Amino acid sequence: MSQEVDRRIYEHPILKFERRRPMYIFFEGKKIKAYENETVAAALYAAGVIQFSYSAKYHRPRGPFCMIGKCSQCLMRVNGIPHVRTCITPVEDGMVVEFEHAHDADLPTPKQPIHVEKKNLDYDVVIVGSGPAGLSAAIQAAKAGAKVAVLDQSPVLGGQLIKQTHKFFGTKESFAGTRGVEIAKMLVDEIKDYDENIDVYPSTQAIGYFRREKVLVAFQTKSLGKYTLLNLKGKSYVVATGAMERSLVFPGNDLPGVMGAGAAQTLMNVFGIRPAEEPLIIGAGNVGVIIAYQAAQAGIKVKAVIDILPKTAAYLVHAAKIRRMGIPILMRHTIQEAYGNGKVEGAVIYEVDDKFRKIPGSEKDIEVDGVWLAVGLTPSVEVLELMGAQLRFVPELGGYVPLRTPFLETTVSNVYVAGDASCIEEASTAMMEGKIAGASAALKIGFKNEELEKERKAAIKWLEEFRSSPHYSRIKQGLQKVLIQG
Amino acid sequence: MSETKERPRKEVEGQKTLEAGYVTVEDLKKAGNIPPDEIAERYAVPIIDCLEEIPCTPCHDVCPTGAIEMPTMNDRPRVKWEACTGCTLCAQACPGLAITIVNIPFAKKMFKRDDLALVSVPYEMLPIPKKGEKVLVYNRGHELLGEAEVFSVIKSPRFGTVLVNVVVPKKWAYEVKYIEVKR
Amino acid sequence: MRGEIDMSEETHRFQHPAIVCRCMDVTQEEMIQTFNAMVKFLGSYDADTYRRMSGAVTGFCQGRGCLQHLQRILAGKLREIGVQVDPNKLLPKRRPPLQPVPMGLFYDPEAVEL
Repeated sequence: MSQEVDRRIYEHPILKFERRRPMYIFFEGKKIKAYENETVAAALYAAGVIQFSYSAKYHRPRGPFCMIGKCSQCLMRVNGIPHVRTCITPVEDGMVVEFEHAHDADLPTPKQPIHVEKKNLDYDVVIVGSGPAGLSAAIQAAKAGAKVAVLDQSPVLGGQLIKQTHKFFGTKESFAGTRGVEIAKMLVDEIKDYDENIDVYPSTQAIGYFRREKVLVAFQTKSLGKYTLLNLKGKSYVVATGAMERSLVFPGNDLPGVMGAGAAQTLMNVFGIRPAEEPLIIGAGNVGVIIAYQAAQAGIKVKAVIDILPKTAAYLVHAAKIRRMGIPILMRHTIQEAYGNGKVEGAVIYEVDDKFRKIPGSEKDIEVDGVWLAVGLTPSVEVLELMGAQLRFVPELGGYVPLRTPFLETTVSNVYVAGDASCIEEASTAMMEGKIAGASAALKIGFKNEELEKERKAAIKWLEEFRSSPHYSRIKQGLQKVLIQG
Repeated sequence: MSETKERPRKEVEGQKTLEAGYVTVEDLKKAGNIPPDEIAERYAVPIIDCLEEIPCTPCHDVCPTGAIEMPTMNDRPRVKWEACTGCTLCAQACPGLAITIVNIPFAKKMFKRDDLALVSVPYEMLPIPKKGEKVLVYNRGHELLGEAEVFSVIKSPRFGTVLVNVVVPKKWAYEVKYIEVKR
Repeated sequence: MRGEIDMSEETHRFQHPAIVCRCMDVTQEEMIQTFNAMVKFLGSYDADTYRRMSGAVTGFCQGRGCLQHLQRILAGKLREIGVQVDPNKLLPKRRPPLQPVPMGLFYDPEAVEL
């Protein structure tokens, strides 16, 4: 890192990156340029820093994996405060960022006193998560006249919509043909129309739930060192916590440069930073091929997209987009190992036969500087677990998902689920589920609105039609297993 | 990845080539997505590489003349060739960038030649080509067809997808699916 | 410098472990060793014990990345030794806080008698 590295993208066919006031942060004594709306992790990555931490036991170098505040690989000491999730912490001028060393039990050395404020708040509907499902739910509940709180651990609303630069599938009702980034803006604008009813809590993580008192405990980071502990008592809850990217176990899977494909997407499309120059993408489902396409738009040369299955699970039109550009899709291939000296320098892939066994001698050593994992998502149901909702393992839906009524109420009364937390699907279905859950959450606690009931009915019908596609037959089967009568 | 399971999917025409990640002109012909020659000589025709039953309707919604039929959101688009005016809105709206518009009558009128076609190719990359520039044209499997001249470039803020109109020999009309700017 | 480790070409080019839990640094090999030890010494098979003994799912991220791998390895190993597996029982108990928070958060000067 002797010379200045700048991984920022300045020209993009779809996006215009708004970089506000420039500022400087200090990383291990080195001055690094950042922009006001970047997070600490993004600024470091832009400057070519790919190692963020040392692992706890073996002291191996690690880089960020998820970039959305779910994994622990970006925890660093910022201004003397330990374990700060740098991927969701906005930069401040003059911030001092350091590595953490698990083996030295250093006491925190904050440069400023830590303030914790405590608040007890009452709401009609408390919504955890501000993605497509959470925002849609908030709008519907506010329409009914309910007082709504929306929490999100990210500093900006919109969930993962803010990094989707492709046009969405679906129909007019689900904003088909519109890019995810624009849908996020539309939903956030709509939230503003109801600002009398909706209180938004960004940078707020749900950390606990008291079942007897029915209180959700959340932890808001106002700025570094200034925290609020929120005790939110909702008459009903909508849990729209989304999903977490799966990891894959192979030798070298923790090297800096191995990351979730969504993390790469966050860096490319939210912050305009190239995560790698020549990555390998594992998984040729919709996520894998869409991200390969978006990488090409960002000027990144994708070495290959590999998948162990004999044929792609993606929509063919998405796969065709990258095939015609000459990005190879290697089916029946998987990764043996990633290697490198402190970062990914290459990967060995091999071919498998019909029974997914390795074909001897089919190994290929390819030079890559990143391995992006698009091997599926797992619903994030931690909050629901604390609330006591009954879960069931349904592989068709992505893992452990809550049982739910047709109105998306879980086994805990007045607790609703929506979006990827209920089943891994599309953003468009998440919006529809959000509508159903938000409306139901308000109607259940006594609000009356005929218009809302009509919209809920329409959303249920829409979902039914959407899922009748042969592409979703598996999901449809899975949903049968978790449906209960309300 | 071993935990990912294959999704059951209805067999569609040209299953073999679908495994490669794209469809061929033969598949499209079999599916009726390519018009007979006498139609293509008279009208501009949208070539829709969409052979799967997926819940997606933007091309149908955007069409001003109702030329793209789709009874339910999961049906495949069917084109009423005579109704298409060649306005190219569907090619710009398609989320899968699966639509190219082949306009042979326009090429006939404009260039007074029988062996050319004007093809509108959706394009979302950089750099954006200029009018009159020579670009490389590729088919669906990234095989280089040759060079072609850009007749015009349509940029509409509504969709964000650029439409590059290239003049190609008629024999490539259904093959052209991707362009590359060589600078 | 603090934290500098030997990253010489020979030891680190190909010799990487397969990590299951990134937070607590548990390798695939250790997960299997732990399973064998658990069956041998404790005779118990539940996910909670496996979590405690291996350390996976106990880190900062609370198993957001490794829980599915713990479950997969556990289920696979149990099948190997002929134990019926109900996937719905492979979920270790979740406890708050779900996210790393400063310890001072739980300190209430008015509630504590000094």
